[in-house]
Amino acid sequence: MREREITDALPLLRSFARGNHLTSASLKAIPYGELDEMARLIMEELGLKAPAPSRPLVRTLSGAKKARFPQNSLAK
Amino acid sequence: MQARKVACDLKEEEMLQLVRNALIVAGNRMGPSGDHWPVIKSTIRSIMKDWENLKIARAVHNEMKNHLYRQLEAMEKVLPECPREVQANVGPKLKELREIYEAYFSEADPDSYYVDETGLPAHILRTEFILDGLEMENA
Repeated sequence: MREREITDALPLLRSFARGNHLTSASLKAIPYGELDEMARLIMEELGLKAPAPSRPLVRTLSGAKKARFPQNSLAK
Repeated sequence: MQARKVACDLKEEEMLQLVRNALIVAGNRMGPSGDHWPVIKSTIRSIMKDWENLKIARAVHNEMKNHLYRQLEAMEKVLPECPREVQANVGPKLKELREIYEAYFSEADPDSYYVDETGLPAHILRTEFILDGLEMENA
């Protein structure tokens, strides 16, 4: 039964294995740190305090690259 | 057709288990003992690691989606109450951030993604090669 299941699903198992790797890589490529920095700068301009990121996000954001959002575009 | 029907009924965890089992089946066909087993085991470990990485990446993505959504909501609520010059200065930036947010976090058809498949790691190529071999044996 199990081997039959494997045989039937082989073409999809192949793309599943590849898909896991590629999806994970593409999600990791999203510049979360830059997005967070953009939001923080705009919030400051509006006089709002940016909420602290949730615990799972702290590590991601603290390890993120420095934001490339142009600082001078936010100059008052 | 049959494969598609089977896969529709499978959850991701079950698919993962089937990939693992398929690699073990292939290993057994190559021989119950031999030099291929360390490679098979290492391939399985790497596939499992990819799965763990994907679960973490999805969790981070969802957290970030909620985190940014809350900030955008707060900013868009406050903006109309701000002085006109602040609205003129901040409005376009907020609009840009909203557009970026929608682009990154909206559901999209996976078939429409452009995925750079160059530089796939060896364990993926090896898995595909082994599964192709099983498929040809069963054809």
